[in-house]
Amino acid sequence: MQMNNDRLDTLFADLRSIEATPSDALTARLIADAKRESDQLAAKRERLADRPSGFSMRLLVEDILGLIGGWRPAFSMTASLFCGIWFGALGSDPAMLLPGLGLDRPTITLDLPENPSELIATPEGMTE
Amino acid sequence: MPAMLAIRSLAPASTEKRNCARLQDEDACLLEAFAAGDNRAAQKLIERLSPKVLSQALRLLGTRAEAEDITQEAMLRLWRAAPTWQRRAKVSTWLYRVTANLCLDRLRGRRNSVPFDAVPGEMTAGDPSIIASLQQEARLDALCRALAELPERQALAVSLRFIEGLGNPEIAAIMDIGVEAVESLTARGKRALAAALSSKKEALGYADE
Repeated sequence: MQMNNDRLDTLFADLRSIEATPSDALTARLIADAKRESDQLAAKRERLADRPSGFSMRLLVEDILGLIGGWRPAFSMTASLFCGIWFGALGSDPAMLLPGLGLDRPTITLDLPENPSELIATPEGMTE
Repeated sequence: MPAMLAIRSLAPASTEKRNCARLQDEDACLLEAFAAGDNRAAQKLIERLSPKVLSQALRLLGTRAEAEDITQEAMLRLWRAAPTWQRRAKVSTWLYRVTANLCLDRLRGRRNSVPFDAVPGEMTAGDPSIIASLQQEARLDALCRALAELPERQALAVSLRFIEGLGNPEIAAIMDIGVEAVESLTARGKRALAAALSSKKEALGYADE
């Protein structure tokens, strides 16, 4: 048989009748918590107030580095930037890179005959 | 610039008073004063709100020690919400919701029954009503544990409606839902509670009529 609504309502009414007053110890704890949180908020406000209000290159650099993610990503981006400028300035011909890399002078020299058919080896006994 | 915290600038006192009067939420004004550094505002808020929070927690948890823990946690969350408090809800309704959720979470984490020491009335040794009081404690404990087993929204709606005695429009504001949704949640929740407790009727001392 189901629990009837009257019994449930009686239980709810009993619960509603419960009232409590905070003890002095609890009130003291609540006040201490509020004071601690208030002090932390005040400390945050002071840190912000200490920041210079005028323009500061140092702070600008710090903020940009913070956006990028630190010194390491900044170096990588700088290196990529210089590589990009280098390639761009030299044009689209990758051979322009060769002088800097020392690859513009061939290391193997081949003397090719004037008649290319001389390059084809003919086994003995075979005729063309 | 990034990494700049949003700190509300202090408005002139006359403007703040006009805002408070328009809002008719003195608690919100006190909270904003606390966020601006006024510790007296915190004391006033504690005087106004902590009895309600403690009573609500005691009704659901049944033990004074746990109710005080929940009260401390709920008020701590209020202080931390103060700097970014938005005036979309009343402080008291926000606290109702936070306290109920903290209590229901605590109830769900309970493994064993806890003596419900919040039953009204006094007991003395040899008093025949001791058995009745113990039985009542067991019933209230069973009710609260069954409440915690309900789906979260049902449990919240039922606790606010039947234990805190709030009206449906107020509950709708607390839960940010429509009044019809509140009625549906409370009806379904109450039926589920009745079904959950019916299996324990004999253990809880309810004789069939």
